[in-house]
Amino acid sequence: MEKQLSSGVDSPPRHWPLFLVGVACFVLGPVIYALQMRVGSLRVPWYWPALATLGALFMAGSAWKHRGVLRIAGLVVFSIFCGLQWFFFGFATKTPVYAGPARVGAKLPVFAATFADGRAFTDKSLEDGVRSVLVFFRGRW
Amino acid sequence: MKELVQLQDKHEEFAKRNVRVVAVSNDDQQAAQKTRIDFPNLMIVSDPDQIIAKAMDVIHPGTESPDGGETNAPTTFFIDGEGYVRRFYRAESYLRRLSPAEVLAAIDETWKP
Repeated sequence: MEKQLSSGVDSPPRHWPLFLVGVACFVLGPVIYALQMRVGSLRVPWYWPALATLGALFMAGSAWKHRGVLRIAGLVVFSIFCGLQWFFFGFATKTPVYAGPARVGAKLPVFAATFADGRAFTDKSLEDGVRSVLVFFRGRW
Repeated sequence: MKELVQLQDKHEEFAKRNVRVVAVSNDDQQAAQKTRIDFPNLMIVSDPDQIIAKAMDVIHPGTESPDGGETNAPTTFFIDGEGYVRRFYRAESYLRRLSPAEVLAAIDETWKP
């Protein structure tokens, strides 16, 4: 009994809390993003991959101190997710730089389409003396 | 669509400045009608054949909308009453859009009294 207690006290700390803090960092990104969407802020959530990186670092620290199979596997999986997040936010969502043909100081190019109610909408529709903000959006979906 | 919600919410501010908001997407007429009902103070344009998008070169290559075809890269143009472009904005990421406050600030800066 005495021996068992003694061996329990002497066993090295397992550092799971550090790993779990890492997981929490991963979860925090989408949680903050959900809140960001709720308040309607349409900004790039760079904190998301940054938090994932921090999470991966915590996990790496945990795996360094106690090299268990589970946490090393977890570290690999979460690191891949982290890399995918950087790819998504840094490259996949990137838009090309606008290079024309509409240029500041020039007239709009010629076009013809329709308003939702079926009325014609052309470049001339925007020459009626009223200023316009022309917003191109990705669609109803 | 969140962008349109926010612009709709601020429609009085745009009206005060004598500015109309024209929103263009590749949605067909039916979808555009629904959008028009949801956002009655915005002018919604249906551009399913991407006529305006091609003329203005705002198509985002490599993207795909649920109904096929490439989507528009979110872009905002400020046009004066004679049809001249006074300013435009395109973010480096399609996740980023101008907030109504930023649009209003750009309007005030472009057309200073």
